[in-house]
Amino acid sequence: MNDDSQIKKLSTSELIKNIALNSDNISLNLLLATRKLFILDGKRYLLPEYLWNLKQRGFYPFISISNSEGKVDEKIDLTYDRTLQKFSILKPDSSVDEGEGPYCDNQYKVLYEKINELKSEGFFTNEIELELEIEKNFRNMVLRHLRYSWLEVCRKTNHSYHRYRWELPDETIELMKPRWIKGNEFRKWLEKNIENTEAQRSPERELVQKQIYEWFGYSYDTSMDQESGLTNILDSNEDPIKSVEEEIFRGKFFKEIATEKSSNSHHLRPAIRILGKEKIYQLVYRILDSFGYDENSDAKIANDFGLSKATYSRFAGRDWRKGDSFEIPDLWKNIAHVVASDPIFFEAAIDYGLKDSIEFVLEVISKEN
Amino acid sequence: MMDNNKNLYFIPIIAKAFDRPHPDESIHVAIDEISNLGKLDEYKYGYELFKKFVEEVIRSHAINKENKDKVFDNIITRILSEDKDLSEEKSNILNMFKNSGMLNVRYEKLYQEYFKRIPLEIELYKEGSKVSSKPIEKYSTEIIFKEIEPGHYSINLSNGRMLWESEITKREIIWDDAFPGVSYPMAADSGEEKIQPTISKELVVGEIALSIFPGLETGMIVLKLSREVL
Repeated sequence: MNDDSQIKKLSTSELIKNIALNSDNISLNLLLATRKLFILDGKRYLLPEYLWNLKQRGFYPFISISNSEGKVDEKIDLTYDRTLQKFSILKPDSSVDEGEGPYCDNQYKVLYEKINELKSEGFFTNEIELELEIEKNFRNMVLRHLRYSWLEVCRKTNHSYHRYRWELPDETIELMKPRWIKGNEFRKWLEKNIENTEAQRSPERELVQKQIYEWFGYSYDTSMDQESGLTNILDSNEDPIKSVEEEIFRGKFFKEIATEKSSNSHHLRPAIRILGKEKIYQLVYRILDSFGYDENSDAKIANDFGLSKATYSRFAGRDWRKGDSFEIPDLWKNIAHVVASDPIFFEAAIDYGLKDSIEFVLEVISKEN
Repeated sequence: MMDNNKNLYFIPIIAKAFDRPHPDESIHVAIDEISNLGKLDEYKYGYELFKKFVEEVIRSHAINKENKDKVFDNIITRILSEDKDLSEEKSNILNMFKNSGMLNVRYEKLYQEYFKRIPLEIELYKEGSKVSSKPIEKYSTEIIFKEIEPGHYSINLSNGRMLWESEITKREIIWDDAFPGVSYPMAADSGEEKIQPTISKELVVGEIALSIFPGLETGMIVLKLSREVL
């Protein structure tokens, strides 16, 4: 299409068709530079402007950021870049690896299919109405990719990889494993996500590694060759129980709980409060610690701290039944409150069981009001 | 004998997730893991306790004013940004929000801010600058731009799509230049509908047609909307 004024007159639907079917850069540039398809506060914006305005709001309320998420500003910047790239850079040619992207080709193909679907349903024979419907679908797609980009950026910040041996019944495959994930968890991920490995063949190993990078993020600062001389090789025979124990013993979360409980002893039941700050810390930490290795240790802990069975049960009992209902003991309730202080768990729970959780939220709110 | 450690199997899983450098991801993984284990007989009772634990989290989180707003904002935006027509379940959820006075205020705010459609407008540009703009309203059949003087004009939709672009000269908009020697028909004689346009063009086939009419001193651009648009 050479006639500049003719292409300016193309409908949004036609521009998207050109991009999706012909990888047409002129249509793409025109779409990004002239089409104000995105609405914020009753005003129309170009896609880059729209994303920029959302970025200024920290992408609220479209992404939820954990209180403990680090380098948030940097990640917000990267999320903006990545989302924009997903709608603005065409794949140079088919030989280019997807991993070097992201590229926008797929997004426009999906949008084009969606437009065809809308047309075939027969509701949008009117071109002006179709323009408005495309705006809605385009916006929703951008918002979806905004959420994906956030998670991808979080993953991609984990640059650091270990060498890892994945032991299969007949063979062993050497892979790079993100440092932050424990060996047993990584093995579970592999078992769930990688099928039909013929690992001895190098190309197959590369494919597996590619899937790992796509999920966990690329290792920009290491390579298999660079890592091959390192001695800190983990293998798949790592004892999963041991690794969980280590995690718990070293876990800052449990330490935070113990510190919080001992520092706010005035909220505790008298029988616990009387122990004093230091002993309360030890008690809480011991209880939490016991998850790692010591089953049915409650009686022993209660005895060691001079607590009656009833007091211990109200404080940290592991069976919450009380007659026909449940009553959460103080320590676990306190952990629920600590967890609740971070929106991320709450939202994950909402995601997990949307309707039940929302109805429960409304029930709680209505009681509170 | 019941293994009491399995009752609270979810506690170390949650703790581990919060210890991760990227809890956003690991918490989703953790809930998945808790749920999968909860399907096994030995963890079934523990899973019941987990649900009670989640209720306590929700109760604790939702009664905090600041959190409450964030939570609702997140739920509402997720539902509103779905492509497909809302399922009955999600429509019910939205209705729950709308029927709750306080939450409805929140819902309306988000809807207005992020999701409300605004009608397309027809914009008139002269020499590259916007000189007028008129919304395409539901029942409008005609949009008129008056006092058109010679110059380079374009007509765009407010989403940036150009509909028409051209130079307008005196021959299109000044009666004596358009129809030399012909008297301008006075409204009392014949009505303006007798005036012939100097330019007629379909801009969007079957939907929007443009006509330019000459006047004594300035002209007029008329867009006929041949069907209800929007």
